[in-house]
Amino acid sequence: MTAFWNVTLALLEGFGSTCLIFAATLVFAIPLGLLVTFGSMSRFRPLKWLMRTIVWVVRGTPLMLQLIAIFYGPALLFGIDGLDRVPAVIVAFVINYACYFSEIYRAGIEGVPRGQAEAGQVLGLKKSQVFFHITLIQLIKRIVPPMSNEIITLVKDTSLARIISVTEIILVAQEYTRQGLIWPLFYTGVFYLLFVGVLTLLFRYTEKKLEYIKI
Amino acid sequence: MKKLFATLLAGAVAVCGIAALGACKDENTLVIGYTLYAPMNYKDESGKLIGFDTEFAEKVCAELGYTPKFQLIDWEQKISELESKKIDLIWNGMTITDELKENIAISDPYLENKQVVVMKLEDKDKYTDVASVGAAASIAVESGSAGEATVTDNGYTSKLNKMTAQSDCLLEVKTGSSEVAIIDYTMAKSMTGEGTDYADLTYVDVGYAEEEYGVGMRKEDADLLKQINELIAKYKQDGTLDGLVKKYLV
Repeated sequence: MTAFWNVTLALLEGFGSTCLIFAATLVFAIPLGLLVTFGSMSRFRPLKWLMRTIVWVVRGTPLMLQLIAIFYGPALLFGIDGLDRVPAVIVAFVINYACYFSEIYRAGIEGVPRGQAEAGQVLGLKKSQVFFHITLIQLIKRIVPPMSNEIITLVKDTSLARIISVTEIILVAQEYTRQGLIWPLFYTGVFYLLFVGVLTLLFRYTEKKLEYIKI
Repeated sequence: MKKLFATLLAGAVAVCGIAALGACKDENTLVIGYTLYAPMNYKDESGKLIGFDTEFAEKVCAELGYTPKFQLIDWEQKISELESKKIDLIWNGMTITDELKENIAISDPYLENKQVVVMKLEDKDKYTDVASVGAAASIAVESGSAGEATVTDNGYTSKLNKMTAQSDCLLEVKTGSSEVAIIDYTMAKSMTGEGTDYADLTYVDVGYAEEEYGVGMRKEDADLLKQINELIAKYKQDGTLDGLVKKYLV
């Protein structure tokens, strides 16, 4: 029983890192994604192509490779110290998820009929007013289901951090496996399930709250 | 809109700040890359890192006036970790091979090792010599390890299951996913048999060529290499290494 308790505590500590990566990624990637969207929808061609190229590269390569490139790359290529382990993970995740989020946002924005923006303009609203008072709330309603998907994927993607030895929960469990104790690895599933369970309830609540908007 | 950009900018600055904090390094610290495995580097009941290599590295660092900092690494990234200066030494029961010598500097050997075959207890009579292991349907080895080299050297044609860690090879055999595993003698000895979680596994020394463990470092750290080699010679003479063998390997 004490073994179970000790393993639970150790896994919880690892799960702390998991949650940190998860939260930091959301906090930075959600707004950064919006910037990427504006960039890739810009009428200024060079900016648009630059953003679309970045999105292509980031979505077109494995997150694991991006982690390795961001952590070891600066030191290997330019001899500079670069980022520490956890910051490197967060930077890689933020860039990666911002790009995926940006495409979801784009779908949301383009899903709002053009006529609404035109109507806004006719009424004398500025572009930013149209975005924040008309488009944004409809966009949010549209993107909740696909964003839920990405966010749930993010919970599990955090386990990739172990590639550069950030002691998230899977790595902690693997340490046990390597010392001969196998069950903690399967036990980690419970932590993920509970976390995703809470998120699922949260998403359902959000969708309910947004039901009043008819699109 | 401006406010939004300002907030984002502040966030970006914050990330850079956190990043810069972690980047500073101490001159007197040697960062030692390791992976957890008994008996070289592992944790005792209280969670303290112990083991043959842990104690050996601590002794060497103390004598040279460095503070050792043990950094858990992914074994497959060991060269990247070293070259990018995230770690200064690879000290984790690393078998000296010609391939490794091309890329990094390696100390004089400090411990003898050999590859052995791990199998389920009931298969004990099936695999007794070098030739009979070749008849196994599948062999688990750590990717890039001396075990994998053993498979190549002996021309085995069995299905090869490449794992990221030697200890994962044990799990392979326990679950029957691989019929046998070829891993270090030191690990097989301390992790299989009675009193371990792998009590249903055993190992056989079928007589593969002997090999040796060395400490890995960057080629440009020639002074450090010289200092460590001198200490290895000294510890061989004064019985320090024998003491560690008795403590962790017998």
